[in-house]
Amino acid sequence: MPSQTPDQLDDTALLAAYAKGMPEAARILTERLMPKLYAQAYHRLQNAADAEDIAQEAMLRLWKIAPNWQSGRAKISTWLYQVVANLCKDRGRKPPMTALEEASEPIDPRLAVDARLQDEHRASALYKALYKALDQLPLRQGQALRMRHLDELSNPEIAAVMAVSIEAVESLLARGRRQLKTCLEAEISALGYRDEKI
Amino acid sequence: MKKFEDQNHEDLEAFFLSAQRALPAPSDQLRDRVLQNAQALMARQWAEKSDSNGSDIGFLGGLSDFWSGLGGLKGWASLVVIAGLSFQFGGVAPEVEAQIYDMISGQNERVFEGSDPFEDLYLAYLEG
Repeated sequence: MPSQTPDQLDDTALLAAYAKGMPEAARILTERLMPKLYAQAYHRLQNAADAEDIAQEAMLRLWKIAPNWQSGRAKISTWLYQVVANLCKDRGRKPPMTALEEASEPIDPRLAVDARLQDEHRASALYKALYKALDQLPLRQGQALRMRHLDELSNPEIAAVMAVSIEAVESLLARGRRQLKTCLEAEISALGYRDEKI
Repeated sequence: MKKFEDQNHEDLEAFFLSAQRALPAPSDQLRDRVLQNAQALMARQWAEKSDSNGSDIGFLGGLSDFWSGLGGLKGWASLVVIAGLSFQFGGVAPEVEAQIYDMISGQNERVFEGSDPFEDLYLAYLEG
């Protein structure tokens, strides 16, 4: 049976290797997990510096718990997800995008001399509208949609994080999407993108 | 089950994609800080572990220090020789001293004089 390289080990095995003094395991875990934690924090806080602080803190907690990690408990990625969610909650959501109103001016095609800039402006308006609409959803629907579409968790992973059944997750997502469309229609109308397909 | 599965949310994809694309990459400094934390914590945990191991064998550690203080094996060998000689010259010395005294004073000859098996033959030969 061919032996596994460190890159092929799962997160739990890597964490155990780190606890036994293997620095390479820490490097692989960092490359594997840290970008997801950063993305999760960024999508909540919309601030790169805060997202970096939270990703660093979450990874620090992982290193600290490494010697006592029990392989039978939750998946490391799920545990970290909850750590980041709590850290974001502790830090508190900043006022939703103070720049949102500034950036939400409809683009006058006659003034748009650069198509790329116009696209960027449009994309910026879209995701800011999305964040704003997500904030308006019932809490658990918003959480489920963020996990599914921004953090790219699978439905079973979401179920583990939210401590509900997979069916309940699917229900939350379906209701959340309907609600999100309604919220986005209002947002997009306010932004002047009336032709945006919702 | 199927009714709750993803359906008709392609129209939301543009919004989610825009959010994904707007995500800035984490900095290299963040990666370095995370790895530095990992190494520092690993070093600290190993140091704590070795400290706790030291306290577990405190008695043996003390014994080892005592052994070293006595000079190790050479020290112990010297002690054993000295103790042996002391016992010899202390506990058995009176007997040895008596033997030495007898040898010097010729008492042994007197002792053997009376026990000569040929003494009578020698006297009979002289007498006649």
